Amino acid sequence: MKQFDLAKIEELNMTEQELDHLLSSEGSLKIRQAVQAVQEEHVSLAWRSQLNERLVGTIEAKQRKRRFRWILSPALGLGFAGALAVALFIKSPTTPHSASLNTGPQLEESLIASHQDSLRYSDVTGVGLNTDEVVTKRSPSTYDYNQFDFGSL
Amino acid sequence: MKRVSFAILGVALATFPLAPVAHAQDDVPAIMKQAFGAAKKLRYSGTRRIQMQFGPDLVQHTENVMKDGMRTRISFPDEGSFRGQIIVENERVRRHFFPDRNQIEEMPPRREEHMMRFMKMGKGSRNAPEFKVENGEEIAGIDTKRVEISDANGAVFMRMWIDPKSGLVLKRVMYNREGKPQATAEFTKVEFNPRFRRGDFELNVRGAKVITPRDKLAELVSKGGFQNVGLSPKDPLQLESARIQRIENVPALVQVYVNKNGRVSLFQVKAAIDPNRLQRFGRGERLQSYSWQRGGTSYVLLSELPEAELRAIYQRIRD
Repeated sequence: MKQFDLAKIEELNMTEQELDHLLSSEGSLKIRQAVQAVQEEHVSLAWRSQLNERLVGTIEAKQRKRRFRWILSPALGLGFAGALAVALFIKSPTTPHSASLNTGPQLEESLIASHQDSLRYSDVTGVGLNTDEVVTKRSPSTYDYNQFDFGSL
Repeated sequence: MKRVSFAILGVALATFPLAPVAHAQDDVPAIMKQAFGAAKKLRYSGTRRIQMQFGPDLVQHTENVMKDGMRTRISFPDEGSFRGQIIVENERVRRHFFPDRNQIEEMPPRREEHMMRFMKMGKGSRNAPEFKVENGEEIAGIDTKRVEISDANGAVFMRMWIDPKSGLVLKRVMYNREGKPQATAEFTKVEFNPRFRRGDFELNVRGAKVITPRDKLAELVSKGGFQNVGLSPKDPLQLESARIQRIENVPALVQVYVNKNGRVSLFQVKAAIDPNRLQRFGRGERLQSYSWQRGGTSYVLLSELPEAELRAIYQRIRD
């Protein structure tokens, strides 16, 4: 068991007069004056409030993003799946008599000319060789069709 | 030659506006009627020179022709590019043998289609042609009558030289819009009523593979990345030929269908087509057109057949 220092304990047994005397001593008075000279600072909690506001704002933004993702992700998935279905399973619309692609100004005339040339040549050749047989000369299966240009006839 | 005669008469009939065929035939020169009738009956053999003008290039070849009524056999000289090839046609089929690949191409006959096509053109046609008949020069040692046919504007589009005794068309020239010869067929030698051998009008080559225009079409569709769009094999219009042709720098798949009523071209191009331009230019050439688009590709039907018929063909293609 710990042994207390009885002499120090006994020193604490001072009377009120002895305490007042000590407090009124010159040393105590100097310390009191120094303490009183220190300017009083009030503790500010404004920074904490600001921090809280920022934290609340961040949490709300995160929640909004989460909610947006929650809605957008399935929508994007559905949209993509829908587009895929349209591309794969739905027939492209057939548009008679419409033009929406780039075209050369002479294409229509050249198609007409191609048909007419084919008729004229076959009228003359009859049962004989037709024009593509004459031009290719040999097996059409070995001919480079990209070079076969009736459009310039 | 029978086909040529039919075609001539047909062209004549084609150009009488809103007039019945019988009336149009009354205006056809007698020499042409004779040629028309003789074409089904003539029996001859001969050598014929063919010339075709492709832009600046003149391409020519020689054919040995044997004809017995509706049957025809064509072979080619040994020194030419087409040596070994044989073409045999009867009322039902045209067969063409290619020795380099040991194949026989089978397709619809051409004669009847040509005849009926020109007959049809005569109905409702606006521009009446004009005929001019005069004595022609000797062709293959035979005196001829020359028939000149010009359109309503006076531009000559065809001349033919006909043997007035037999009705055989010995020479025929088609002219382009500039009045220059575009294609010429001319006999250099003719023998009437020759003796034909048995089997002259048959074509059987052992081991030769028989292919049809549909086989060729399938190859082109695959090779050229085109859509497999066309008429069914059961359709009254039969596929005569298929080819890939570059038109205005656009690769086009061209299918030609025929029957006894006429000829229809189906073009497939990856470019836009203006139907109004098509109809406008077609009208000038006495052609009807019908076009549509699907998946970035344009399809065009061209024919001398009525537009309603082209619409019906379009429906059959869709179905």
